[in-house]
Amino acid sequence: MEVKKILLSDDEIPRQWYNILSDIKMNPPLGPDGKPISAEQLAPVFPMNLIEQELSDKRWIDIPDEVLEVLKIWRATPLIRATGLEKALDTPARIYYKYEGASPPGSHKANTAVAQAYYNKEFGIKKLTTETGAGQWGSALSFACAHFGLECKVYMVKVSFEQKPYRKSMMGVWGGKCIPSPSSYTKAGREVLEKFPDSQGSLGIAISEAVEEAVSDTTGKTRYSLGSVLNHVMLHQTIIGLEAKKQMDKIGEYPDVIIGCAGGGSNFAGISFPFVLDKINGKDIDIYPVEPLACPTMTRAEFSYDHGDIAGYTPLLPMHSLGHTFMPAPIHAGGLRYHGMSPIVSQLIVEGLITPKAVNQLDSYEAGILCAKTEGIIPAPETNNALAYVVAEARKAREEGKEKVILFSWSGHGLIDLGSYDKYFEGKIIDCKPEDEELKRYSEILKNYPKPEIIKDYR
Amino acid sequence: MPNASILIKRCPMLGGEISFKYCETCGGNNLPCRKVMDCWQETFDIARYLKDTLTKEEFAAVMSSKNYSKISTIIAASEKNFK
Repeated sequence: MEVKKILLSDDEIPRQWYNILSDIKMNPPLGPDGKPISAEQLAPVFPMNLIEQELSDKRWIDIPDEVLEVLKIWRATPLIRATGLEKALDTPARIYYKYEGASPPGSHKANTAVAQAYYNKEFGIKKLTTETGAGQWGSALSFACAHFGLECKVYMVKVSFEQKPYRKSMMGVWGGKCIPSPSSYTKAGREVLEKFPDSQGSLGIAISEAVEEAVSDTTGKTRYSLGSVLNHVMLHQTIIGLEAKKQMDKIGEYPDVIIGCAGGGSNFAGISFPFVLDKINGKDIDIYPVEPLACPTMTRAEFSYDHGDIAGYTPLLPMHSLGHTFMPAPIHAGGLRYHGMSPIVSQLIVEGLITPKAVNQLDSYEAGILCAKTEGIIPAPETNNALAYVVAEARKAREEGKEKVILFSWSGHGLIDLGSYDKYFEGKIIDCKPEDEELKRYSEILKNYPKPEIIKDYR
Repeated sequence: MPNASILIKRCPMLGGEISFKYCETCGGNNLPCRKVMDCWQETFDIARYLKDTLTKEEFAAVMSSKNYSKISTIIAASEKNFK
């Protein structure tokens, strides 16, 4: 019988995370004054043990037993061979995926939520605050806090809070307190409500409320938690790729191609970074982060220092950018909405270790629906971006007659985002692609900023 | 301009469907979102609509308004509130 899924027993789950910062050199993130930002600047917001992890260059970092105990609820996630998809595409490629939708909140985000909750507890923190747009991260953090006895308060943008009652319910079941933002709990929220009582909120207001609540707690027992962008978030996600290596080894396979959707970069980091290490050590692998064509930060932009915001307000980070005034076109993958890619992922592109790809929305939904029909699982909209490129690679393998092994991360299920599929079926999903002239205009702005030293160690 | 109450679009920041009415007021000071032009330009003449409904100063404010990413907003809120 053909193998469908490869599992790991609890005692085979990796005991360490892989820290890629030990193997690549990075330009330091700079503050508004042009100087590298310090740990002290981050200390009011995050616990020092996580800040130390953020700055660590140690290659392997032990996963605490307490974290593993919680991760074991759903980890190791299965490595599944997509035999139905292979058959539908009539491809000689062997396609495998890590199913991260198996986590209780339904996506890979729980991997870092659990670790962050643990480290906060170890630091003596009693309460975590965060913001959430659609509710995915708020759900993951509520779940994690429940397991470590932490209070969790999630500021959810009011318009989403009213539209997505199931996310609020999920958080509530796990003990998380989900507050519609703007709220009367914070000065930031009250100021908005006083001026605009009917405000439906915004992500910026929700972040302001969550951070205010954390840093203004004079007992020092509250911190803020972020589920994307930062180095330690990428680190915690590497358990995905480390498990995949063990699982493929069990059946004598090794990937020729690795694919992951990439917005802020944490899902892609999770599946790919352990294999990037192999590539650094001489393995021949093609590694593709995939982004929406409507917001091409990796595939068509220059590498430059860029502010993470239009105001030029955030610390300067070396990243692939379209220029900080680039406004992403409306896309239908909630998790993929940052205009700047993770600095680590940007550096790997510069090194030539990974090759970014872009896909359009219609191809993504078509691939997602094909996978749902052939593999059974309805993908999260952002997962569909990876699926579209998997389908393209599988078709290429058929044309070339090559028996490639493709590995990708199925970052989450789409059961709480079915409205997006309805929109696709109703013909309301459209494709738009920035013109070269438009991108050139945006990138002009970057000329006023310092260019990072291009560090290339491996190519 | 079509009836604003029936214009629905998925918000790239929130990850959910919202009406144009929300986009008109979710920016700073209850002004339109800074992304309103990008999100709606393919649907109707949003530039014309904004020029017709906003004062010159308000229109200029929207066009030059700031995109506070997550990390920038976090740092700003921390520096403002840390005790």
